[in-house]
Amino acid sequence: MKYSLCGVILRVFSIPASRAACVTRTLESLFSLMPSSGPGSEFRVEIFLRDLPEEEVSGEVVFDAPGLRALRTEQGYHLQSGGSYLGLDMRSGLAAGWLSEAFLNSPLEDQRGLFLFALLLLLSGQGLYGLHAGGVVWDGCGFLLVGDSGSGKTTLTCALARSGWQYLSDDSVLLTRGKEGLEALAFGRPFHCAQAMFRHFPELKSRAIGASEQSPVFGKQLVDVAPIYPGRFRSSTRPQVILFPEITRARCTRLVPLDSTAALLRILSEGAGLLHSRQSMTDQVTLLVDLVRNASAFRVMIGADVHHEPHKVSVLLRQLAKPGAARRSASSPISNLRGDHTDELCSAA
Amino acid sequence: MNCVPQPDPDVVTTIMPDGDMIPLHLRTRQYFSLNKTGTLMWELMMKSTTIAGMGRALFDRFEVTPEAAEETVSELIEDLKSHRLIRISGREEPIR
Repeated sequence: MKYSLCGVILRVFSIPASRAACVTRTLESLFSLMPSSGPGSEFRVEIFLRDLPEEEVSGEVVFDAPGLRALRTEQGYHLQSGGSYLGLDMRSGLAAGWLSEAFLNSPLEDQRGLFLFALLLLLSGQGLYGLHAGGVVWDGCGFLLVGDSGSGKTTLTCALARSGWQYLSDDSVLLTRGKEGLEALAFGRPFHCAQAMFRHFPELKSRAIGASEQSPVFGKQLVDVAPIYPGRFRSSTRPQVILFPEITRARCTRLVPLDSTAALLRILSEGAGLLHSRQSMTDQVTLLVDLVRNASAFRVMIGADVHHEPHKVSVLLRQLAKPGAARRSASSPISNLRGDHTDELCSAA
Repeated sequence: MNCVPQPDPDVVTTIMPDGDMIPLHLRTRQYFSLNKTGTLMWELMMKSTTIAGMGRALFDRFEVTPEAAEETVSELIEDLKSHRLIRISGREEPIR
């Protein structure tokens, strides 16, 4: 079966054929795939699985964490996860390798890393760059929520979805240059919900997909939110506002404007999984610069009202979607060469 | 002071709308934020200006003492060096 992922055709093949169906179901659960019947884009991503032992691979280690290792090779990359592996050919868009039974039977969250890395790398070759960010839309205006794990992206996304906003994802979008300018595309499908969220958003519990026993540190569960917020999913948007959520103990949520330089620095440190080839990184940074130049940016100091009165947070943020909403820039002190930027706190708009 | 600081060849720079510059090292992912004055210093580095020459440029352009200019340049050089965004060579260069 053929799927479309952010406009790129995706297919899975395997020997034996039954394994392809298993992998496809996993990908459908983890990413915003849509069945495709048309010819689709010229570029395709194809995952080909066969029961062959891994060959010796040499290359520079570009990523090494528990559960996932990545080496840069002549053709592209070689990804290893336990006894499973995928070799990526960047030019052809082919990911070929072998996935063990243990891998395929492991929790979704444990499989996610390998597939996420593989797809992000292959799609980057087509000018689609991953951003660790949520995406929401109000009245056609796209908002990106950028931040590290635990910053409040999912909490804020759920609060806004509850208040009638559309959503792309709580955690991962792809940025690309569309025909009419910069576009953010829905990439990750399930929401990543901390246990504490179920107390304030009990509707999420019924759609929890499952927790990873190997990820107790993160303590998050994948939740399929499509049935919870029906009709709210959106596959793409033009980002016009960038929000950097931060959880606070304040009663009310407030906004602090950021200038484009501060916004770019925060995206680089919190949101952009910078890639590994010089050209890709240069292109990716250029894209991010265009993003911050054309969008307003704010720190969102999330207060308790996000749980108790989410509609108030919605009203606050909706104002940013108004046409001609002033782009307020924090002052940039030039009294020293280091160019340190100091945020100015201000009351909510 | 006749040392010549130069941008690391793996660094790309981005100029923001307000004139700030962000050098980013493509391998280490280290980056820095330079305001307009820091950007001037970076541009002088790209022309292989010595540290002494950079101090003189600062002195000529702003109302600072030579000692303050020298100290400010030295601090910036150390910061950029610690972020591995520049390299220092000890070549003797003509005083600019």
